[in-house]
Amino acid sequence: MLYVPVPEKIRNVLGEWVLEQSYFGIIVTDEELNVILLNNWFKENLPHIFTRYKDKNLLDLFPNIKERKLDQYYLSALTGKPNFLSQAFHHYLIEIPLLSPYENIKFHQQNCEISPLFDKGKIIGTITRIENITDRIIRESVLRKKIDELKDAEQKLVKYSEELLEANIARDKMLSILAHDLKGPFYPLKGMLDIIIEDYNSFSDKELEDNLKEFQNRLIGYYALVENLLNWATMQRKGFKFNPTTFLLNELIENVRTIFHLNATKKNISINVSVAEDIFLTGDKDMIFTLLRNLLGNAIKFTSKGGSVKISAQVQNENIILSVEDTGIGIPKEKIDKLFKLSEISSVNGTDGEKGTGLGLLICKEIVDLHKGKINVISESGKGTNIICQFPKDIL
Amino acid sequence: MILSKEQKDSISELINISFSKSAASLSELTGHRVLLSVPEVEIHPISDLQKVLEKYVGGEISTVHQIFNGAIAGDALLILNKKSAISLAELLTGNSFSESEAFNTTVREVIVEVGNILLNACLGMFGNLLKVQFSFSVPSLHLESLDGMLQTIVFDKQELQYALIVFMEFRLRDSSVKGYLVIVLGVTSLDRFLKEVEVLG
Repeated sequence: MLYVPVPEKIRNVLGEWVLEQSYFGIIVTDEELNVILLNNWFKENLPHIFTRYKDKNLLDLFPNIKERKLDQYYLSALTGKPNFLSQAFHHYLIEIPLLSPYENIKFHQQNCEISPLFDKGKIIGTITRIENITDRIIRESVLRKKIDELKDAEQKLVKYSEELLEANIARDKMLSILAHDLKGPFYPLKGMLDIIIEDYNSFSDKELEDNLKEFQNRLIGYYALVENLLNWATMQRKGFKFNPTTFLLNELIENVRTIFHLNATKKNISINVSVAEDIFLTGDKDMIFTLLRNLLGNAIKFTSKGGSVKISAQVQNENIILSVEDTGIGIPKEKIDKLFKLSEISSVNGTDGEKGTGLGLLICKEIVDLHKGKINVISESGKGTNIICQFPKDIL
Repeated sequence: MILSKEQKDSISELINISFSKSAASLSELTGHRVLLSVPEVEIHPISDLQKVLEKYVGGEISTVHQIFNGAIAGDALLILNKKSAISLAELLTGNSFSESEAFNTTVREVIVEVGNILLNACLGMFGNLLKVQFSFSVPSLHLESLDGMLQTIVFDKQELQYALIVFMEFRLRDSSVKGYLVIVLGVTSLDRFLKEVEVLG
């Protein structure tokens, strides 16, 4: 270190300046940590200490130093090592309450240096320099808070923009469905009704009954299609209510089977139900009904005449496993991943020309997600499909 | 000057003992377990220091610098590159500091205190081993290029100077940050140090 000789007069002036100025707190102790000097900074910040510090030990004058294990830095200084204590780790050396605390900042925030005091190469005590950085820390805290708020706002904006994008895709899809899938079956129905009315007198009673039954059948399919669309649109709405209750799953399966009895009979498809025990499921009953209706409706729709559909449910550990398996046409491997993506779905006619929107499985996925469950599709082209839904027993 | 394997092992062991105390101090300060890797040491003439360090640090670097005086004199430096300094401050304080606020005052103060702890430990070990007392300056932080930093090292041009480089790694919260301790010593002090090390070995 290069030393520049300092004239006596300058030394005295410097000494006076250190004592009088109050930008930094200065504590000088002897080698036993008895306080020799506190500068004017203490007069301003801790007047009651300033008037009675003489002949007091530092650790008695500021007991908090020892309580917070900061005395180790004084012991280190007495072995000749200078120590820098940052506010980031210690907050402060000397406890001075703030007149106006800011959030969790209740005391002056300080950086300090605790160094050995040498005289002719011999350690004769310690010197501490304290810098009050409270204003800076409060400013940083305010800034950090603002930065966090801005980050939050940015994240929200990104989320809203993603939601808007998703809503746009959903709206486009809905328009496409309305334009194509809803309008599509309407004309054949109208055409069929025109023929029945025009040729009413030429039909035998049997032909008339068959035509009306066919009309009714198509109308039921059409109604289911509209209902699906409405269900899905409802689920997309903000504020949509999930209304869980505990109900007997067996009953719901039986109700759905009854609804599809006619369709299945018409295609000579057998529906087998395999539920070994009474299973109580906690969830939104209407949604689970919609789920079952879609799964069974799809299974019948995509199974050729003479095939079979099996609905099974069982409890496994903490989960309820519901599956609908058919011996139908199956789903090509490359299409399985696209079944649950709104932008990728497309309607496929059933084995008997049944219409659909392609929304069925998407609705099923959304229902299962709302129940904190999982949906899995196992399928092989030409061999059939098994759709397995897993629900936690207790979702509440 | 090339260190023999035994000398390297002995110096590494000595620094490792100092570091284990430093790691404990850092753990106590931060409330997180801080580990310091077993250091590797090399000795190079001061004239080669830039060439050696360039392999590890570049661009703007942060250096905690302490000058020591007495029976032996020299410079002790903790060198971190900019990214490592910010990462270390983030890991130790739990706050995140974006690039734009890199080297804000809090980051600087954290690095100064960490450097102070490590350099004190290392220099303390030197003093104990050589049975000499020397005074250290208060640590100061410099942000500059490697070249600029090396210009700040004040050394006695009358004597050949050597740099003892300690390669170290801080490990905490599943992350690690690399740093470099450099202690610049005159050939006489270094020779004395190595003799003491050999006695220990």
